[in-house]
Amino acid sequence: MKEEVKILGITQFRIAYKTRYVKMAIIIGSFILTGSIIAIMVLMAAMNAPFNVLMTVTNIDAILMLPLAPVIVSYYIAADSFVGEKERRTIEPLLLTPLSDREILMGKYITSLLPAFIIFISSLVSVVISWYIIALLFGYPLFAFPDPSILFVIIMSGILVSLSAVSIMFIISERVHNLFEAYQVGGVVVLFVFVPFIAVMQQIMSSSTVIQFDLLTTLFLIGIDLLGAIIPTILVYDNFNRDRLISR
Amino acid sequence: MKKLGIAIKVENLTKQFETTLALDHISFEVDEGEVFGYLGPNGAGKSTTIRLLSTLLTPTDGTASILGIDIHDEPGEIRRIIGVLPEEAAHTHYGTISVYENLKFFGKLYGLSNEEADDRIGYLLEFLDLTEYEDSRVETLSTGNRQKLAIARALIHKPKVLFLDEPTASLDPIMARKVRNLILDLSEKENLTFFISSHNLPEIQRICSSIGILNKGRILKLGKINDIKESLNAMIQYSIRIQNDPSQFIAVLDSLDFVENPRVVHGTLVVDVKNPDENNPLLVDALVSSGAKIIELREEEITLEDLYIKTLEGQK
Repeated sequence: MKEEVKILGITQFRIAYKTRYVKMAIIIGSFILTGSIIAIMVLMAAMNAPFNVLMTVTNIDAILMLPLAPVIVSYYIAADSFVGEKERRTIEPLLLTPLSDREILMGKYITSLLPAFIIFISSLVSVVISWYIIALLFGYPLFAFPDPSILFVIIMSGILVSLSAVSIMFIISERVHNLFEAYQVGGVVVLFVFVPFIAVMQQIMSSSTVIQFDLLTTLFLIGIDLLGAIIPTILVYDNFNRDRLISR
Repeated sequence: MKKLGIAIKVENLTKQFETTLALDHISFEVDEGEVFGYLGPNGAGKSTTIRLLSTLLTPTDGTASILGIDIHDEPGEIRRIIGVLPEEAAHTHYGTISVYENLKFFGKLYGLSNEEADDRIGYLLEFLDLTEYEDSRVETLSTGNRQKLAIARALIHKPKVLFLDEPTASLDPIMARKVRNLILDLSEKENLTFFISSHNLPEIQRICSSIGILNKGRILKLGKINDIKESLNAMIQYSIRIQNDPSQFIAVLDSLDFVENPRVVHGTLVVDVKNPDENNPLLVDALVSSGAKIIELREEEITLEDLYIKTLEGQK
């Protein structure tokens, strides 16, 4: 990756981080979502829930909620990517640099995904550590949590769902007239995409006790994530248009 | 001055925005090292031309090249060799980071090493009297200082061709003169080419050797300022100071078919005369025979403003 792309991605994240709503998103994404998973674990342990039930609920929470933490952060930063720069009139100097369309997009992906992944990893680590502390405190067996198959699904979901959300928000941000419109349209589209996704995941997981996934279920879940990430990302790269950004 | 060749070549460049034809098959050339003034009323298509030449927009038709590089074939290379001061440039910065960070960011995006970027930033900040603001957040700067920062950003990578949209807007007179001198200096010594869009006609007259006048997407006049003035010389403006009341001679002047638009401005008769070499004696005779006591008859030099207004009025 070219040095210029890294500079673009990291500098623009530093700029984005100075805005209030991005800080808010980081707080909601990392603390509230992670905190609610941990709170449910504590509550169930305090109520002496059976081990299998506690594991199943925690796994489902982790699979569904942990990937949402990076989505919330990347959603706000990605929404701002083009229309926000256009509103602040910084898009023109940026597009005047020698960077190609692809390089600008790569930089923008770094800006949106870098904080998302940092929050995702820190949230995941917090939940795992919390599990072991709760297991020790409440006398549950120190079962390897999460199971590698589930950990794999969580990590891949975190990455791919974030990529999907960022790509969808890029498509929207490039086309709308202001940031407010980007949030409104983005909220509807993201809900439209993620609610069915969450429903499918929940359906799959609610059929049995979720302590580990077999290979087929793992591949199926990752396949859905992959499809949801690849299609909008291809659309972003194929439809990036300087003319539209400048003249709209 | 060393001239190397053509810096900007535009052929039939056209831009259609949905229902608006912003540029209609314009063609012109700008020599290397030249300072070219691009004039026209608001909405004439000046900024669209700059955006097309700087590869921000794609032409609907026609071609253009900068220093022989086609804007369509190698847009990245074009952006590397040009510097652009966009419209209302003072408001195009990242406000929450410092002056230094803004310039370093762009310097790095243009491929400068840390050392090169720091040297260049130091030089530009000193030249533009911005050194004391190096660590200030851009949002705390005055509009004039932000404009200076935009000029520094346009120059950060030592471009060979510069497109400047209203370069001295929001600058105080001293800094405006400094920037004008910088433009002339860079053009003379480093053979940089300048394409300047501006409404500041006296400024354009001071620094530009050639101009293009644009209106409604079409070029109305193009060439060296002196050549264009000469092309308008068939009708020259004269001021006639008269001892008696000048307004009583308006009717006399109206009756002369080689005189146009006689009027009194600040107590002086002002007229436009066709073929003055032939007609001025007749004009003086007509005034004297109707009792005018002429003190002075002076040819007014055509300013760029006159030329601009005449050109646009001619189109109407």
